[in-house]
Amino acid sequence: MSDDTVRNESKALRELKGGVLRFAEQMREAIAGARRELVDADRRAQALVDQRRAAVQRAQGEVQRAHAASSDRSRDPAATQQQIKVAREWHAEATRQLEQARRAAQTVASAQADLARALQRTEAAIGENASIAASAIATLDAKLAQLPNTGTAAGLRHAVHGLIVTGEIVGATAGLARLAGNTLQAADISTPVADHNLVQMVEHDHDQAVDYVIEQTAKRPESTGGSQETIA
Amino acid sequence: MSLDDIARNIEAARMGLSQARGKASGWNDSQREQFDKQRLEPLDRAAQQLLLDLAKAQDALRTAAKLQAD
Repeated sequence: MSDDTVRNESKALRELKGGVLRFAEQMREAIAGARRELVDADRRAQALVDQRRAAVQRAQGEVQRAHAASSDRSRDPAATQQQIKVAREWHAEATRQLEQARRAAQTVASAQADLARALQRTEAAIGENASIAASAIATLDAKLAQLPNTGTAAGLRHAVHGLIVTGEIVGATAGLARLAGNTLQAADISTPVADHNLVQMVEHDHDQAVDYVIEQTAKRPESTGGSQETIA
Repeated sequence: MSLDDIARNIEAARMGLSQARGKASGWNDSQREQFDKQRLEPLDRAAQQLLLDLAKAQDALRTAAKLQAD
């Protein structure tokens, strides 16, 4: 594995890490935006309920005034009856509109509660996976940069690199497997990392990678780079 | 920012992640596949699920708006 290849891999890893972190940041912004939007919608829906409740109270007042007017013998009975009728219709319509606003507010509140749970699940999934992925990539990149650059060790780079990659994955997976019993499962998130078969598979691959490097190192003559390709 | 805008931003974030995944071609295939499956796919799946949840919320807001306008 040449130095150029190492540099290219290092660059690719940094780009991937940057991509993961950007994604996590964009998702955090989207989640915060969605929360704000639903809170605003809830506030507007409640404000409409308050406004329509006030309209019902005004209509109720008008009905009471019309009834009071009907008891005034100096007024035209037909006119006061008409006034009562109009006030009652106004009150009925205002009540209907208040009921609609209440149903709308309940719909919004329910959507807000559902989305809040979804946002929390998403936040947990993205926070954990992005953080572990970025950390694994950064560690891998750092280890790649520290690999020795001479003699037989240079020929082992690819194999060691492969071992590190697998090792990082195993480490991260083991970490998440521990978390699987609490946060992720509590949040009802289905991820492959919660799958124990996958964890076992990765651990098996890790063991195989270790055996492979040991075996290849044992086979390798002390001072030759000629068999590098067999490792890669 | 409306939920439609937010959904568009999530799609853009998914596209960015997908491009970043495509760039990391230095590893051999099986290693990349493992890392992708365990770390990066869950990120994309979480984003996809959120888009579905946002769509439900949008439906609910539309229903509420109809009730309010009626």
